Amino acid sequence: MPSPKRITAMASKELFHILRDPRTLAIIILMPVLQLIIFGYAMNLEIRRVPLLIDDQARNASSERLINAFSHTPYFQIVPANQRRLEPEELFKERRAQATLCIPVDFGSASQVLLLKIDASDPNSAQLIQSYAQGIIASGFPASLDLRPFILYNPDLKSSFFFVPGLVAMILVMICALLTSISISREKELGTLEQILVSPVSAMEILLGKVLPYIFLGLADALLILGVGMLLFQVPFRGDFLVFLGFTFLYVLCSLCLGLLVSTLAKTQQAAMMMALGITLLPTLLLSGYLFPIPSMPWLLQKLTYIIPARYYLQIIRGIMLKGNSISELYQAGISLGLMSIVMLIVAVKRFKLRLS
Amino acid sequence: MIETINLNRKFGSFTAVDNLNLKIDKAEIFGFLGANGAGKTTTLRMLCGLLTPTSGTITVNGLNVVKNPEAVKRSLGYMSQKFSLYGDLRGIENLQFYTGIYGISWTAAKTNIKSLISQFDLDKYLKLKTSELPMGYKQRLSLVCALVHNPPLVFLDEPTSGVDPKARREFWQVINELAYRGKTVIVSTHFMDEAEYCNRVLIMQAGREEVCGNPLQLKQSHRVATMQQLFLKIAGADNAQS
Amino acid sequence: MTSLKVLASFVLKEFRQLARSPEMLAVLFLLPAIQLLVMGFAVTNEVKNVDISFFDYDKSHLSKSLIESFSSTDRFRIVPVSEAEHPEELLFKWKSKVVVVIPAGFERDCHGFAKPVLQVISDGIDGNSAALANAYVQGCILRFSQVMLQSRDPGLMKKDQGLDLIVRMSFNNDLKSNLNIIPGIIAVLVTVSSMVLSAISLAKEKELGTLEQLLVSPMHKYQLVAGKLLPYLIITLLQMQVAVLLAGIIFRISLAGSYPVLMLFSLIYLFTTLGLGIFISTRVNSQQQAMFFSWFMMVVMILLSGFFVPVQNMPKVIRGICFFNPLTHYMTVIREIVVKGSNLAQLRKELLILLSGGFIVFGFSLLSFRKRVK
Repeated sequence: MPSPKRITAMASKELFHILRDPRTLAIIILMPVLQLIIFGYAMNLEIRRVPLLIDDQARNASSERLINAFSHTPYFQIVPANQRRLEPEELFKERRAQATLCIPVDFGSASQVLLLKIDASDPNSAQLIQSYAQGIIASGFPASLDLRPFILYNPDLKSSFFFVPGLVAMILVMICALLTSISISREKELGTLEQILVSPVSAMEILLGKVLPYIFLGLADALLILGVGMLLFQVPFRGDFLVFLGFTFLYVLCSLCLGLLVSTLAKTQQAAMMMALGITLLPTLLLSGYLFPIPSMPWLLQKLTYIIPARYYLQIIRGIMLKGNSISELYQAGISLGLMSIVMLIVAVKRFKLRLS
Repeated sequence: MIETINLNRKFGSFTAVDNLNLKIDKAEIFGFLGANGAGKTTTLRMLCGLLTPTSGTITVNGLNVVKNPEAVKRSLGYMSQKFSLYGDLRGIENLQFYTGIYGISWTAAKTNIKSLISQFDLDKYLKLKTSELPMGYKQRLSLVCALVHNPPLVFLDEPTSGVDPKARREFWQVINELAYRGKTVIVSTHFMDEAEYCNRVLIMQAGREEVCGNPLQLKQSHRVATMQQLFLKIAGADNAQS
Repeated sequence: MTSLKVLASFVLKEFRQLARSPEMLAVLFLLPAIQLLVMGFAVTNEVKNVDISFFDYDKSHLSKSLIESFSSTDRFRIVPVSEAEHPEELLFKWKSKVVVVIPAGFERDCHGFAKPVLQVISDGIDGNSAALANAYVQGCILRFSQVMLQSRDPGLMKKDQGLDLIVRMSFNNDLKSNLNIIPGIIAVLVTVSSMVLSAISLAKEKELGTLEQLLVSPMHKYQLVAGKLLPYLIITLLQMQVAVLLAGIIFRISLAGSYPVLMLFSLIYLFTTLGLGIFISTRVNSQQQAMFFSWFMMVVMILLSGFFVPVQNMPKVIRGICFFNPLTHYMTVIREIVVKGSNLAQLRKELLILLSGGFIVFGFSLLSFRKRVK
């Protein structure tokens, strides 16, 4: 029977460790908030101020009208024509322009052909530049089709809408998997785990006591991000908060099992740190669909994402916050998280016992 | 050899070393005694230039330690209580490394090192990784590392902590021999029996000098049988005062 | 002469320690290779295999050929729908990302005078890729309508469409995302190896007490720092060769510019990152703290470097901050050289910035590194 007293003793000891290392604590709390602010304000995917050089050989009313159309959008910044008459490629290398538009001499009368050269070393921007230019050129002329686009859940495509839920998933894995795995292997390395094991505390009590402070720390940190995100960036919360808490608890559990597993695999703190980074943080960042769309990945990596807990949690948190999903849409993701937790826990406990005997 | 005048060191409002005046002669074994936190390690660190004094001067061989740190460091060997060895390097590689950073070629240092190694019975351990050595041999290797450049002055900061009594006695035999060969040995310890081996001891308490002198004379003047009793008497007197 | 010997014995010791530790070697060479591979494939701005559904209420020949035009590209994956479903419900239940509704009478309007109407409903929660997917769908439809109109009535096309825009993509005609991402990853790897590893290795000497032993030696602090950093300088440059080689073999990215110029810039840049490594180590007491501290710096440096998002898209204040991020400039340099083949003269501004940055950061770190204990 786990005794609350002993668990409290373990938990408060662990809490002291966390509180006595203010630098690490500050990083844990400041990091996500800073990331949130950078993501919210700086990670603007819409291109702006593209330096565009227009080589106007026509110099008539039509070409003037066209140049006007380009200079009156926030997307382009017209750079003055160069005296040296450099080739577009040379201009791109000097980074004085990112695109050049050539208006031929007979523009407006016979020829209607324009040549747009784009520096495609950043293909993403190049593609957007192309579509903006096409848009500007088309807007002056009647379209042949009435296209009515609707974007649901995030009509302005604000980046904060998907960074905030993603950050919550990151932070929870960072605190619950990374920090716990390090904290357990630290005790092993310092020999204090042995000291605890000779006491009447049961293995269950040790684990509970060790993880409790991190659960609270993780949840508090997650709620902090959520709050800051909703206040600063007006990220909506459309679903049910209780359902959210339930699924989040499941994810926390899954992360803890992962951390436990790492700690039984690693011999030293340093190895634990490296492994935790390789097994928890990087996959969460790269393979969860947080920053990069899973369907665009090669086949093998797509399959690999199925064992990343954050993949499921990301669907859950985005679904609840942005779409207003409820249990009936998300239960599959929840089951996946639960199954992964059970498997990892069994392996971890087996390895833990193996090490003790 | 070493002289300090009104040596002080403060850490914030805490005074670790309080107005210390010392004179240590050549070929002397000089012991710093004191409880934990009495200021032994702080003093030692200031003497070998690891720590700058808050006020006061230290001269080693007539050189000011603060003003000429590199010259002074050339003439001293230092061994810390942590036995600062690279655990993942072999014994011989640790020696090569420390020889290298003193700018001495391995061939030149070899003869000196070889005699130390055989004296310490280290031959068969040199091929092993240092982390695999028994504690006593780590201690010996650490001392050899501090002596690779044949310094006239040797600082030993609690060199025998964590070592068994037999290894401790053997270690002190080596220290005696070093002094016999004309080296000045400055050692800090909290083993009172070790104090008996010193030519002179300084007992520190809360950063201040309590008594200083030859162990034999000190025991006689305080009418005690062992250094242990002397130490407890002094510490007790201090406790009674406060 | 002696000082060179001192340095040599220090460097030898560092390499011996590295050779003894298989984990460290793995971290140094295997991890970057895996990172390059995984990130090279995973980090992409391209949007592929977007789930798209069509509600075809027209069921005409034309509407079918519109749907068909989407199946010919790997950008989309058509998800079949049943009549009973509702467009928005598909998005709500995560079954599809984009829904196109073709109203009844679509074909008739295309032939007649009324403008044909199409509705595109897309899921906006993925921000970045949603925007691109949306653009692709619109582009696809517009292209379809152009082809359709052109085949029907060439004269009408000319009048309506008005302008013909020819687009040429320089340096990267196929718009390969890799070409932009891989040089970025190499820049990040160089930064991680030099900054994080040197900080941790100095913190380790501090934690184990061996630093103290070095500090009582007559070794000059410059020798100590040089001996500690030289191995990481060499290793990072080696790692870079491996990464460049892998990029060529696996991702078929060849260096457009000059190799010596790239190495020159890398060498200059390493002074800044190694300097930062020393700086971190002077501020921490343990390896763990060094790890967290340098990791924290890494994240901020990477996010504000233009790796994922071009700096010019950012607001003015943040662009100002980015200017002081050395990785921003190195990222620019490595991309320019690898992709465009820019020369030294075209990169003179970056050269000046990186040189002065290295000078300031390295100098400051040296000054703050004291040959004394606290």
